Amino acid sequence: MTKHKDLDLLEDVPHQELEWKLEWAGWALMGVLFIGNLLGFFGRGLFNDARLGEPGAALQVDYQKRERYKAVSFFDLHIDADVAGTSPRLTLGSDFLNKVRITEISPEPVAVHAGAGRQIYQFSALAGEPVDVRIFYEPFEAGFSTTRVGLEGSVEYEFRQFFFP
Amino acid sequence: MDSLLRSLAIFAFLLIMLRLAGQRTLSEMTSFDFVLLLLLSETAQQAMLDMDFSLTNSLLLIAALIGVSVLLSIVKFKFPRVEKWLDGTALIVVENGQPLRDRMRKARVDEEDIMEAARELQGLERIEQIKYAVLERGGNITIIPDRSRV
Repeated sequence: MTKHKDLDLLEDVPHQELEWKLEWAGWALMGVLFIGNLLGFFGRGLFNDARLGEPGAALQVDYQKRERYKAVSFFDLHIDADVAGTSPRLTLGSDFLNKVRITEISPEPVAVHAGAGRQIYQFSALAGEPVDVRIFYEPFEAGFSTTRVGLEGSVEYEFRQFFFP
Repeated sequence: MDSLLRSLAIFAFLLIMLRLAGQRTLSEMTSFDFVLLLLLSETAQQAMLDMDFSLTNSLLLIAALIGVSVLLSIVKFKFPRVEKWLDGTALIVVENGQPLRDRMRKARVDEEDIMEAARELQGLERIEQIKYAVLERGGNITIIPDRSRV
């Protein structure tokens, strides 16, 4: 900091120049965050949508790789008609359930069973028809979650999600 | 502790964001700035309180925020370097009637802003009558007239 030649003022032009550079860098970062948000990096969108299971697989899961704390989101699960039967049973792992609150399941399961490290949701279905289930949930803990979703007696998927604070 | 950490995070983030916005943003408030301020406070409040609307939580957060403000003022007083980073520094933008255009451009101050301050504060008519125009830390412009030309 230097005193100006005839004005009682402490000026620091090098510091000011540095501040302006940091301002520009900060604005660039804000721009990146803005574009990332538009593209769904922090929520639903291009960079966040994911699917497990090929078309025709016993179970397909559509989910979001990253979610936000206390923001309600959902999985879409599609059970193939050939394996659904009349009482399909979906499983959800405890690691996921310990970090979220299930707010709604559509259609409503006819029964819920607690298993070892998982919960089992039993649905009533029409024979020979595929079953679509939507599970709404709300993360109440930030951080990584190892989410396991499966169809009992068939396939199970494991994937990582990140819940932003 | 959860809500306290969230509040401190929001406080720090808002401080950084407003510093990144530059000094001029903090000066006179236009209606746009007023709306922005309202929206910022609403957004911040939701994240700070979460779903805990208890009196206890509110009082604790108010005390914490004011405490942080006092702590920062003490730190700034003891460490001038910290004050420079938190509050910025004053900057001369006109010297002896000559606008310092590079500084004005970087600080996003134009001649009209300076003349507005000159007219308002000193009743000056032309930029040549200004000895010094200083962009203060708070974003306002102060004028020192050239007595020989007024």
